[in-house]
Amino acid sequence: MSWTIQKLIRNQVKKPIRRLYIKRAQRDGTHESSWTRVDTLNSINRMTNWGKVNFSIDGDQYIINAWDISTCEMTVTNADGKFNSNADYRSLWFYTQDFKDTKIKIVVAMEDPDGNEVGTVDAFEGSIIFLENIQDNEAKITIADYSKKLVDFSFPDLAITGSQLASTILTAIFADTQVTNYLSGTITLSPVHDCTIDTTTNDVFTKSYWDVVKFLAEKTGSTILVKNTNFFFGTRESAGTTADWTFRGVGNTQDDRTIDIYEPIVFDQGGTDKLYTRIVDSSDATKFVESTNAELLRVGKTKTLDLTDAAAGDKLALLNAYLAYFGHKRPTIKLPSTVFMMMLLFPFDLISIDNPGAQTESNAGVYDVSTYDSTVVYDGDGGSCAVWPDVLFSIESIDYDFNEWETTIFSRMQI
Amino acid sequence: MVSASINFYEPNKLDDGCTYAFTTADTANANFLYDRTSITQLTSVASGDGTNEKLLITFASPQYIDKLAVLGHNIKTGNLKYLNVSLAETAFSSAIAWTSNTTLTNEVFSVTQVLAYGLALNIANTIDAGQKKVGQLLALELAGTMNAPNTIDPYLKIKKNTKEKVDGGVDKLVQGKKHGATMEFDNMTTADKIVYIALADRGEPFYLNLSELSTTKDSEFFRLQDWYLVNMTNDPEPELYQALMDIHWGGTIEWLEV
Repeated sequence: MSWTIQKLIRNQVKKPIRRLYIKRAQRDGTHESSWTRVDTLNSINRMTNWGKVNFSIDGDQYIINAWDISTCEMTVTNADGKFNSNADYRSLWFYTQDFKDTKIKIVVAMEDPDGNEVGTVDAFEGSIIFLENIQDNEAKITIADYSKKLVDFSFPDLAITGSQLASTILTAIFADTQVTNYLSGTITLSPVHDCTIDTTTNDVFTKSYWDVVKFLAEKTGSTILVKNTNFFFGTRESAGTTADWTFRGVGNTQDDRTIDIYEPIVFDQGGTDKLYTRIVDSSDATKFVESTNAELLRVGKTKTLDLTDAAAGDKLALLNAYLAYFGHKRPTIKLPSTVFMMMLLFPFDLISIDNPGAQTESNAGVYDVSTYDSTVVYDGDGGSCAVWPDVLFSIESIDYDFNEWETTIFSRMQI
Repeated sequence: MVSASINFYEPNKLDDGCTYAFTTADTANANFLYDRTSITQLTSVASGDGTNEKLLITFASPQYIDKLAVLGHNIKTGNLKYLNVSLAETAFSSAIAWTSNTTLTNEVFSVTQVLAYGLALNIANTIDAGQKKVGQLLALELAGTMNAPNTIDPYLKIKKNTKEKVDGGVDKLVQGKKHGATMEFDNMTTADKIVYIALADRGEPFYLNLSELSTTKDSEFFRLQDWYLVNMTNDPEPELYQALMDIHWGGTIEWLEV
């Protein structure tokens, strides 16, 4: 039998495969050309905890366009000093630039029942930001995605002045070889509402590349997503009309009724956590747009956008764009613990949940045992959380726990 | 033929300190040769059947080799040689070569001890005419020999979690499995006693393979591919059967994979 990764994800016996690699920065600033495996050294396992990583757009539920830099903390055995700083002759970093700027990646796969490795994928790549000794001869490695590198570089070094399109500013940032040394994959720079920004009036342009990128995301109504060496700046709308994965819960009628979900679903059918029905321009409080639906206007919140630096002709379009997206109730679903999804799902991907609930008896009383298979007896909708697979949800946040081998998802109904 | 002895070996001479050069296979995957599993196989890239793929391993310093194991392979024709002091490929006393192999994928070779500066594994044709693959390459130096144990009680230690699902069913998460055993010895010779104490006091793990104690070599723990890098986990407690202390030691070795 040929085992696909989708089958293995759902298989009731799971055998994870995990590997950790580094590319150290040399003393001349260049990186090693090949990856070096470090989860095992001389064939002996060093990992005591693989950690977990989160990918979120709008990481805090109440903040828009704020990409949370993804981090992961792992621990390794360090009795031999291999994970000490380059000052220690035993260290893996001896004779290199030390751990800072080291590229690091986690690779995952699964073993099928025939002993084959299936679904090998780079799960998370970033740079080491901390490497510290902790008790019991262990070291803790903290890694962050490559957007963290954008914090290190100063925007004034680009010598960009005057009024510029947001797209022009972004292009200049991502043409810097210091950036492309890390973000070397697919760079997508497609501001939703490209607008002209005066770089001389806002002090964000005296700060880091990262400060500027986040600023431009809010100004243009765009969102940010970083995945390994790839960077996305663009629309938050999920493309597609079919689910990338249907999670199978209680009462599902998929295939052999296998279950993908470990902990009960949290379903906010109200969907008002990010309901903004009045969008105000902070540069001129008389300028605002609001929903024409009286009920939504009553229950929704006000979002104030700082459009000081946007060109006059762009401001109304930006206000209307926010209202069009956030001016609707959008129920949310949280899956606190599911099968490990092997990096198949990321923010913007669509999921559905087949979880109508357990069938219950529709009438109290005593039945002849021969009638128990009848839908007349069992036709009640069971459980407080009933979700059908025809509804699509767009992922906003997803956690991959490499240690516990499970996934957590927060998603919002697609409109 | 069942051996009357059990051998213990130093850790694999292939390690992170070697230099690796392959014709087409990715050197970043060199550790697949010594990561103690044949699930990961070092694989050639776009290498035609009949075209030689050389896996050249140069040791950081010369090493003694008594035993070699080539596991999880698909070699049909090829050879395994060591590098002499001039770094020239040299055949072992009993040459290791494949001329038309179509069935064997796990093999172990005993050789007259050599002082090797490296190894060269040449693969020309494969069993399936596909890419050349090797799961494990072990180059081992004998660390000690004892008379075979009287009893062996093997066991499998599986690190696992069960994850309960919303309907009450359970998934099984297998984080890893390790082989171990308890071996009972009686009537240890003087030489046995030295090895017995030395195994307990070693500063690094050791390799063993129980296939030499088996006739059929087809049961897990006793197959050709069942090489285990282990530590002795118990303290030596010799049992002295007579008042004369220097004869008839009995003892137990408990070992578990690292």
